[in-house]
Amino acid sequence: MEIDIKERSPFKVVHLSGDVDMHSSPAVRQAILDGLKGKQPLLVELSAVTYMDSSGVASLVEGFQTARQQGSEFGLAAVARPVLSVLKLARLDKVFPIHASVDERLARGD
Amino acid sequence: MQLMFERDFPAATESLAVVRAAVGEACRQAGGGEECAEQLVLAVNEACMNIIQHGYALAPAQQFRLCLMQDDDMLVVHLLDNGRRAAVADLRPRELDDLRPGGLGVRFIRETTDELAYLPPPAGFTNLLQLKKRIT
Repeated sequence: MEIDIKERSPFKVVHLSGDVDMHSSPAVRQAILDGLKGKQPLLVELSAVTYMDSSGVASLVEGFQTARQQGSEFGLAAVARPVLSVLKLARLDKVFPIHASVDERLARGD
Repeated sequence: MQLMFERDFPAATESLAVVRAAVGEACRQAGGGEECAEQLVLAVNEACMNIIQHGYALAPAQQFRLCLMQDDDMLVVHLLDNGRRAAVADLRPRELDDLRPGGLGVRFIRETTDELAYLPPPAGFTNLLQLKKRIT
C-alpha cells in the first residue's frame, strides 16, 4: 500500500494505492487526519486501490466526520470497484461525496 | 468434504494479505467466479481481523489456523484460535445508522456468506468459527 499526498489548490489530495487493510489503514487514517488539519478541503483518490476492508472504511468515515465537525470539505474521487463494493455493503456509497475524478471536482469550482 | 488448504498464521496484521491470497485461490480452484471470491476474501479477512484484534488483543506470538474445504457446491472455512472465548453475541452486527468508525466487520461477514456459526472447538482450541459460502 502506498500513500502519496499532493497539493491541487485549493485541495489536498491523498492518493492511495494497493491494499488498504488492517495492516496499512493506521497510516491511511493518520494521513487523512493530518491532511484535514488547517481545515483545507481534502479528497481521497482511490483509483489504484485493489482491496479495502472495514478498517479502511472506518478511516474514511473518521475523515468524513472530522471534516464535518470542523466545517471543511471531504470527498472521495475515482473510487475503484473493490472499494465501491465495500462502501455499498456498508451503505456508505450515498453518505460520502463521491466524484468521478479529482479533475472533475476541481473543474466544478465553488 | 475435501480439504483444500490448512495453515497456521501468526496473529498479526501481516498475515492478512497471505490469508486473502489463499482464500481467493481456493475459491477460484473450486470454480467460483470473481465476485464469489471477492466476497469470501472479504468475509475471511474480517473474521481474521476479529481474532487478531479482539481474540488475541494484538499478540503476534499467538497463532490461528485457517482451513478451507469444499463440500459439494459450498466452500467451508474453519478458523481456529486460542484467544478469548467468543460468544454468539459477537456475531450481532451493529446498526448501519450508527456511523462510528469500526464495527462494520460482522456486517460484512454476514452479508457476504451463507452461514456463520461458532462450533464446538476441537481439543487445543477455544474457538472454531465456521463460514460457508455457496460457490457461484
